[in-house]
Amino acid sequence: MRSTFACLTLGLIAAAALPLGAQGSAASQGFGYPPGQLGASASATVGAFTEFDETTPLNPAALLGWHNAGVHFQYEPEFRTTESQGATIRTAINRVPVVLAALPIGPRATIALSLSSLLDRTWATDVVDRRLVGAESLYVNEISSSDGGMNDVRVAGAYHVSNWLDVGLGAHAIVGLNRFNQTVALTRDDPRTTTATRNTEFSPYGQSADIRFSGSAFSAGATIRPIRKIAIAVSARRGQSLRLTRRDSAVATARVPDRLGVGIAYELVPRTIVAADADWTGWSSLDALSVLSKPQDALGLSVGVETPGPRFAGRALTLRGGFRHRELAYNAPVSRSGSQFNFEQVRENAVSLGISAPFAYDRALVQIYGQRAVRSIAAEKSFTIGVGISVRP
Amino acid sequence: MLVWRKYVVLLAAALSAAACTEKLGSGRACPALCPIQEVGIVDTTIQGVSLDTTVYPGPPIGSEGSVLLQTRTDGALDLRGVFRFDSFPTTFLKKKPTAATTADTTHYEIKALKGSTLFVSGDTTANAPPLPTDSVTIVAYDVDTAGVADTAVAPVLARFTPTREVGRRRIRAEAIRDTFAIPLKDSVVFDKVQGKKRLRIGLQIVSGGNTAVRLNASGSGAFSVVRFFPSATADTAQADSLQGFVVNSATPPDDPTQKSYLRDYTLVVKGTPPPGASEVAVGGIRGRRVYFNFDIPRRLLDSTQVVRATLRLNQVASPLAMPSDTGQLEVLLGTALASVSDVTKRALFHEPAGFDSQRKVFFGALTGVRAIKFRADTNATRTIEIAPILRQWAGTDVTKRPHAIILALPTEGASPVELRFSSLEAAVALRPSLQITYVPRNAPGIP
Repeated sequence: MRSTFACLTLGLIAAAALPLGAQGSAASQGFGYPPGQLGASASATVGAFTEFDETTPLNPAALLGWHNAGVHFQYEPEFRTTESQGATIRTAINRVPVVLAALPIGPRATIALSLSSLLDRTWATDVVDRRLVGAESLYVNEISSSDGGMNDVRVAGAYHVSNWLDVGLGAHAIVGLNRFNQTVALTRDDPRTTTATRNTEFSPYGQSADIRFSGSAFSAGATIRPIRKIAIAVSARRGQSLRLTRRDSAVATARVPDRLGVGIAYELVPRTIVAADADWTGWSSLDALSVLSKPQDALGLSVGVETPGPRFAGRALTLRGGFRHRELAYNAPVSRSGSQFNFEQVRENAVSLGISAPFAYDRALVQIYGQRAVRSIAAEKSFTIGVGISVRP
Repeated sequence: MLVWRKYVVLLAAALSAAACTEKLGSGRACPALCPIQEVGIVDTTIQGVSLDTTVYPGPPIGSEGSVLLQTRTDGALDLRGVFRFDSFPTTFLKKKPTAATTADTTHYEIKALKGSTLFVSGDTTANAPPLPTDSVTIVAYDVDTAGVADTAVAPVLARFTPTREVGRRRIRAEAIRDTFAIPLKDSVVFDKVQGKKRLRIGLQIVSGGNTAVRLNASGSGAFSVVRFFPSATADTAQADSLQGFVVNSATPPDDPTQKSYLRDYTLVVKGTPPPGASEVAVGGIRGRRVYFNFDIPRRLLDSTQVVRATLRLNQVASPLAMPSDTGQLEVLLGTALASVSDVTKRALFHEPAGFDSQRKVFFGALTGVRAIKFRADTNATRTIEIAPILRQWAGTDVTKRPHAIILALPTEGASPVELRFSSLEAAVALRPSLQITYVPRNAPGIP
């Protein structure tokens, strides 16, 4: 097991040392990449424990896992590698996918406020191209960047109905700011090989825009324990209107994507649980917001396991792992005929391994996990390191 | 429990291997993979210029900071200099004798003088005209005119006659950029001093050839001086120490600025000839500017972002250009309002022209458009990038502030170097045109 630790540590160091370029990626299409709104336990199993994880703001019934008032914070940098025109493009994205605060109300109820990333549209591209401008062939350097995305602010409550049934309800505000910047510079010399200052012959072109989202949704969930070793959880989100505005003007209106998730967990032996999850999101309801990019409904399937690990430095560790196959929200261009792009849905396979340990007399729980994902377009691979901290004072 | 841990590790390893060995299709390369649309760049050429004219016979006489003397073998240029000494003192203080302990503070009347000399200094900067190939003879004339306009050329020119010659000096070619002295007739200078008359000295190159000599003027801080030895008696042998008097002008009495300009100035007997009917000209003596008024569709200025705008001009060789003549063309944003109806006056309103510490690189202080050096003796198509100027016009009301560009040379009025371009009256292919490269404004950020 020490070797597992060593491997994980080496992996973290290697990932942190990657050269960070900035280019387009298959996962960043449209209004962004769906991180999955997964809490730390669910992320460590790439979604297998989604419906049962109290730090995952999807199934409100799972909030009863917070036996004490507490907060959860998660940081999740992702390192992508994309093959493009024979070159390998490396990208780094920093993400805070989930922040959650929970407060038990008596022995049977819990309420929580959470902020999670529904779509993360953080990317930057720096493309140098040679184009015919008028009668002259010039280098065109397009530098674009996007920060922000669509976030889900949820207020939810859960109620313990009986020993075999927990239920929960949630109200969601879908908000977000997407800051977009674009600069185009024309030069006679290749900007990748020359550092000469640009003269006034060509004026750089620049534009920026702040895109804001505002919408709402409701969700409901239940956790059923028909027998002691099996738990079944189901949750759904019903989207309401979603508005996209720019400079205080409504640009488009769509609907917050509906979502349906089902999970099952089985206790193989005491404290060793295997789980499976199916998650469907109706991303196509966002179609009206975009011009070129096309969202598609996406299904995700995952399996995972949670088991006690060895004791390390006097602490009882818990190990988690899982595998997921899912489709992403937005299609990516795979070919081009003239000015028309041909799009294809991006599929992602991911494996994950995680470890958690309690600290401060079990008042704090630190979870570390690593995810490796491969995507079906542009041979894209990613490595995600996640750190989740839950504090229950 | 150990068995389960092994299963977990094996399962993870198997899943990892399965994920990593999946055959994946290779996608399109960026920019196709970039999550935004490629920026479309459009190029169009329009006439653009709706009015072009040569204007502004300037700058004000004497404000150039130098006095240019120039002759040409073909007689096409004739530039002379005038240095005014409109007042001299009639008394002087004697030098303190070496043995004396106190100075003599008595003012003695000047009853005679000797050694009258005019001291002028040549331009030593890099912008000075090329050195003459042979020595230069400069003749000084008494060109005082009484009762006529100060700046009128003809009355002053009429005084450049042999009978009014007051001195001459032959100067070695290489000494022309140094300070040199021209001896003056003591009788003439004494007459001016005693009679409280004005001494106005006109300088002319009489040695012929294509010769140009630039002298520093008081506007640049270099004051020319008349020096002589005054005497308190009629005997010049008893003349005292050397006294010097700098240029000064008493007219016009009601305009101190112009009075200071006219202390020394270039007398343009024959300046740069006017441009042809289908030409516009910039620079020369007297200095000219070109005023371009533009008519550009609003959709290009307001609904696009201009990344490049190339003003194409057909340069016509200047008839007087020497092979070494180079003009540094300033392209300045016109700032005159439409309420200024006189186009000549509009040419005076423009963004300030900035320059580097050595005054070698000039640029528009607002737009940053750098001046471009062109040879004056060349026929060629010239391109000038003016995109920053078009950006200034975006969103402005052309009916209130005309879209105008002023072409000027930093040497206007101080050097005969001029640049000529075909105007809107020339053949279609030679007329000014504007090529604009722009990016249509789109909906940024919408994927």
